[in-house]
Amino acid sequence: MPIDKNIGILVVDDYKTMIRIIRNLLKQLEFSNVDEATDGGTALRKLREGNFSLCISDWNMEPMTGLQLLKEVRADAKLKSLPFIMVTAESKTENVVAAKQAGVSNYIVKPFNAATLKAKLISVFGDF
Amino acid sequence: MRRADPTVVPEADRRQTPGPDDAREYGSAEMIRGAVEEMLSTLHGDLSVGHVRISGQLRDLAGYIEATRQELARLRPSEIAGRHIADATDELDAVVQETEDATNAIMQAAEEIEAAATHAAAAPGLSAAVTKIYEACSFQDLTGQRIRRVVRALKEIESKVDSMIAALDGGKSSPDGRRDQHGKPEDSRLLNGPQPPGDAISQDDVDSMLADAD
Repeated sequence: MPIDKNIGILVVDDYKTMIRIIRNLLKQLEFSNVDEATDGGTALRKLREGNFSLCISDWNMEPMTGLQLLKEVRADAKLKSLPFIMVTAESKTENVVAAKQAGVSNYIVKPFNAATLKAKLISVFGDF
Repeated sequence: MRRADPTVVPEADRRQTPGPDDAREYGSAEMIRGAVEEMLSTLHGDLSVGHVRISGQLRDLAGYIEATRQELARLRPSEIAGRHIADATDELDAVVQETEDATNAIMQAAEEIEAAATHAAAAPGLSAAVTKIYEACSFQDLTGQRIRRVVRALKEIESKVDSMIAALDGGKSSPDGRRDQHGKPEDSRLLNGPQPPGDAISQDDVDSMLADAD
């Protein structure tokens, strides 16, 4: 069954320009129900209170990093199965390993292109 | 009559030295010098040539420390922290803001083109070009992260210079307390930021690692 492109997606990044970029790329893929957060604490609150089907998050944020946000999500009974894609400039092997161990659904290194974002969404939701 | 030992310097012939109360007025370097002098002043009785040699070396050491302190003071470290580093971080913050403003302007224009292109015959080509603009605009995020790391390094240097100033002044001035020391996140060792070209792993490498772990 093809995915409902009206699903809620939360984009988390402390750089608003990056949120805008991801939002526009998602819009090109016909995903328009996109909310945003510029820090992990706000993101966690929105995820708990809202109805999201995907979280796309940066890693390097303060005070809560994207990795900490991921761990909080996986520790939450309501959110533990939420697809979580890390989009980050952290490109060392140890980062990927840590994210995988924390339960990341997929991992995109910056800079990335629209095709990569689409491919990772397909890996999470299936072809669309 | 007992002949005087030629290797011993009689107490009466030793130089007078400042008392400990004088030394306590001064900062760290002066405290060391004062402690040396105080130690020398407690020596009683006849001294051997060896004692005199040691006392000379200790005086030389105290003099060297004082000369170093004065040399460091001539570098005007307070200007480094209070002006140069502050100016540098302000400039870098401005760079980040200006690139953000420019990126938003570019994105706005691209969004307008994309909206206008919906009904145009050249829509597919225009849409592809607009996508490339969105992708390229991610430079602002990466440059911002690199600049933020530079600012963090400069502030660390500023903190160390402040500590050095405090040490040279013997506690008369204290390190700048304006710096707000956030607690480091527990995964701070993983916050490496954008890597130099050639050091970052590729998206293909990432995909392989994720696939291997399944």
